[in-house]
Amino acid sequence: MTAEEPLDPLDPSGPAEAEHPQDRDLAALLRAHDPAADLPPLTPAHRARLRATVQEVDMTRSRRTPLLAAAAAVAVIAVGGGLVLAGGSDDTAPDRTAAESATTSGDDAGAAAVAPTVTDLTDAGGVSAKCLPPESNPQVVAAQEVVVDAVATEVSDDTVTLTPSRWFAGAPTDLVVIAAPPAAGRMSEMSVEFVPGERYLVSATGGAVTACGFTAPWSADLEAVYEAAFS
Amino acid sequence: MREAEGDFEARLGGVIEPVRRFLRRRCDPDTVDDVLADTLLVLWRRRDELPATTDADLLPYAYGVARGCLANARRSQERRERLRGRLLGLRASDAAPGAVVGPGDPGDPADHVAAVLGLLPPAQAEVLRLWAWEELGAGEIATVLGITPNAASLRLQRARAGFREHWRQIRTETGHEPGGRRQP
Repeated sequence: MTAEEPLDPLDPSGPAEAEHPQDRDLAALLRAHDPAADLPPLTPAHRARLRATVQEVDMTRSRRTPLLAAAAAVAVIAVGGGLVLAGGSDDTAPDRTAAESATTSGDDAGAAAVAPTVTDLTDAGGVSAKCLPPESNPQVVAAQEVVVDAVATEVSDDTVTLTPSRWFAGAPTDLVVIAAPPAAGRMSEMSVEFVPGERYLVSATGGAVTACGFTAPWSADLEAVYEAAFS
Repeated sequence: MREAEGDFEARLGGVIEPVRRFLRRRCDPDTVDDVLADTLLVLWRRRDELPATTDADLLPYAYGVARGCLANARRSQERRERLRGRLLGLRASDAAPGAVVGPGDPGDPADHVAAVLGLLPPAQAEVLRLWAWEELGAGEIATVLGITPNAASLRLQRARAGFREHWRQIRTETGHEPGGRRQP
């Protein structure tokens, strides 16, 4: 941090014909107080540890993911509602996120690998005729426990698998799997028609996908709603 | 293993320090390392589908991933704080932590900058940080935030105007208004 008298980003005395002089002054002011200005670079040893940790966690998870996905699928079918917890973790241990798993090592790395990388959701199907859309219902928007921007990568008769690109709410996982309601058992009964390769905004509470336009094909308007609520 | 190390450095080596600085600007030092590792893990796992080949092109995408990981870390922290609050008999609002960069004690210019950023709507403060500290243009900011370039440009204009307005107020209130100009 510098302690000199800051530039005045409002100073109108600069040449009017210059290219955005006030913007340059404002940028200079902010850069003069960059919190990372004094951050020293990582030491080679620290950098090597970081790389090793990332690759170790990645390799450990890659070996276990198929088993984990199978366990999650079985659990979805058996329980048929709510947020299904493979291995009894995830929401009951919500802090065990990908972020934290990535930093574990040794024995903890093994435990991290067991942590689910799938967010399992169910879709109750059908849409009530009486519901407010997200832009008119900020309280419901704010109450969403999972909001994710994701592309549908697999659509089968009873599940859709999505690959997230951005999490507005909820603990990030590698995949989001939405199961059709047990009573219906088919994706055609779901509140949203998922098409492979298409991008969606998916929201959920209590493990159940929220309908009424809260879960829908991606749109800038809906994204703006979630952007405003969670960013 | 050496091949994997080389591959890691070739793909992500150029974004490690920029992402680390990005995180340091937005969270406490203790959180930086955790979120940096998480960000690199996500990038590494997506290495075959990364949208760019040069570090400059990859950075906005990497910042976007880091932003998501940081948001997740904050939510985890908030959940812990809420749980702690419930255990202590506090209301959730009492226990929830505030913004990392919020209004500070307006004593010196650094505090003023932090204070003004804290006064802005969070989305506007973030585009200002991306513009000034990460030195991104509107198109790159749009990539980070997942919005259109037009929306990023508009938000940036509003953010600059908002910053100037709050800056003028806070400098006037603390007797630092240069040139004796008055608040508009």
